[in-house]
Amino acid sequence: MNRNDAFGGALVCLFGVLTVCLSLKMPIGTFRAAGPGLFPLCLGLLLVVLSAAFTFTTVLRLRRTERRFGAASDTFGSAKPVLGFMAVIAFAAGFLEHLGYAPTAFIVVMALLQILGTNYWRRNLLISMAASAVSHFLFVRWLQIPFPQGWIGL
Amino acid sequence: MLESLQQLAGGFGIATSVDNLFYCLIGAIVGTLIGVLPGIGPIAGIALLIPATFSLNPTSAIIMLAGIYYGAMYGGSTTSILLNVPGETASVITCIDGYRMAQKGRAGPALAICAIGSFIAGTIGIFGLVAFAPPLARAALAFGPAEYFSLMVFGFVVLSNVTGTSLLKSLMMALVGLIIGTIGLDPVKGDARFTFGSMSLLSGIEFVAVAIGLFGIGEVLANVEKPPALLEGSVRVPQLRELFPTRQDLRKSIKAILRGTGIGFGVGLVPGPAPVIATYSSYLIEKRISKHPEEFGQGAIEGVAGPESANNAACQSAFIPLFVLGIPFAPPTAILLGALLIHGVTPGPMMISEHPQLFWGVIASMYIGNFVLLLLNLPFVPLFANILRIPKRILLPLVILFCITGMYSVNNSVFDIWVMLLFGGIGFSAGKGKFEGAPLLLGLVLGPKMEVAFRQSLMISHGDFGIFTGRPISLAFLLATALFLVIPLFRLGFKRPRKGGSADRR
Repeated sequence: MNRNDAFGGALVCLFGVLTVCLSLKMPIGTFRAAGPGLFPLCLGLLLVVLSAAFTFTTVLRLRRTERRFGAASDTFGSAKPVLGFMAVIAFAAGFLEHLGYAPTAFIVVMALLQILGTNYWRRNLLISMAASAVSHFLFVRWLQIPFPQGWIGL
Repeated sequence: MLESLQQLAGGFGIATSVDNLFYCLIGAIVGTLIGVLPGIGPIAGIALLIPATFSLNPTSAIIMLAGIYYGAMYGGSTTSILLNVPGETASVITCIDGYRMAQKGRAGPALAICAIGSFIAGTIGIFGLVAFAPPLARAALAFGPAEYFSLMVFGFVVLSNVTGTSLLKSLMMALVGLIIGTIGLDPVKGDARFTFGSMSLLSGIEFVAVAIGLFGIGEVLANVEKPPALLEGSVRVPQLRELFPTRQDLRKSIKAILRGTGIGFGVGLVPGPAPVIATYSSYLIEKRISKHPEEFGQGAIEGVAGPESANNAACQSAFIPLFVLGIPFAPPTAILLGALLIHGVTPGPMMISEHPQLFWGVIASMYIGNFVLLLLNLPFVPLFANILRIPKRILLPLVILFCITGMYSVNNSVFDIWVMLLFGGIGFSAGKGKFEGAPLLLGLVLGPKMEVAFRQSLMISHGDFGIFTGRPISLAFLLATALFLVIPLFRLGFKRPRKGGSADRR
């Protein structure tokens, strides 16, 4: 039971509220002849009730615990590599169709190896090239999955 | 029963064709590798490899994917024993005694007994499948939309009850999954919902993207966050001559294997993460009935044999609700349901009669797969153990590349990579607050089915909710659901508040 719980509960509650609002914009119909909005509306309402109850009780317990034992700090690891990894995946999604599969694969592996702190350029280069070549051969040549070829045709 | 055995014999004919044997072997090997490699579990593994089966016929495809499933389950135990790092959740319990055995220089017998136990459990499980699946399919023909809806509600509540740290959290995640499942075209009237004008969202959120995001990317991000020193572990690779268990080991293990098989098979039939519950139950029972309970935790071979057999048996019996009712009760079988649908096969009570080749072929292939795993895993344990020596800082980037590649190849769509990334972030953040991803995935897969069942039931009853309580089977499921909702409240009521905090499970 910590702040993450309360924050998570509040976020889920917000998602439920959003679902309810968007569902109400669709035809609801009746239970006999339900419209497309009825099922998500019911789910959204149920989610709002559950998450509100969860958040409320969590905050109450948290306050009680903090009053007795003082505020506990939530432990977080290093956010930098996590954000770096997500940025590299976003790069792949954004540039795959422009760069082509093999160059994107090379850049992705190279960048991720750098993020993880393996600062041996020559080794990283070798691993990235091997990974990109093997995956190109495996997926494009052998399994014939139609990956985008990009500007340089790879 | 005799007819079923004849059909099973036919299934062996299908499963032993050169093609299917090859795909079974590939599935078992790839599955073991997936299980061995930390950071990618059976769910993401199966989801990633679905595109590789597009060119195969449905029977070969499911044979390969099922092979990956039980192969991964076996592979997971290798890392548990050698590295004290469970390859997947069901192997957590194997760490306790398996790793202690490895520390005492008995990793070989521990790994061998895993393979032998899994094989025995698989063999008995096949006969269980043959005995239970056809009668259950006949009984399921009496199910209407109301029964299916109530069964799914029951499944969600049971899954939420046994997953993660809190019933409320798991229920919330299941609801989020159900809501995400409503994105796309309305299954009854065809209206667009929550698409915001995007063509990519019309066909709904790709469940493979959610699975890879939650369980693949999310897991990798969780690993990346750890300090570099914690990322790597040391591993001692056993030699081939050290692998064979002694006669005493076998004598100690056999009863545990048989008990584990029974527990696993029974647990696999009910909703929830069956292998996890089965392994825990088996371990607790073995410890309770043992004449030397003090040996548990110190390297008792029964503590490895029972849970590993239970794990394998639960994996097999989990196929019964999937094939017979068309309802997966656990995330890996939910992925397999998706794969079946992609290949144009709709599982359900009619599957045995409509697709006998697939049904019996897959069942027979499981037996062959277990035999392959037994042959493969014992001599190749040193090889698999060596794979664990690849540093994670090299492995994790390759897993990410594999996720991106696999994701794109499902629909040749970059949009799916964005969805995968989004759910990777959600999976990582949810893990921080101990919100489980499994109920969300199951909600997403079952959402459309549940909505159709709900709306059809109300159409039949002219809007009267009494249809859910007026039909005996449906009522039974709802009563069972209520019981599962009430039990945690009772438990909470009788639990003494602990100093410094309270029980998280609510």
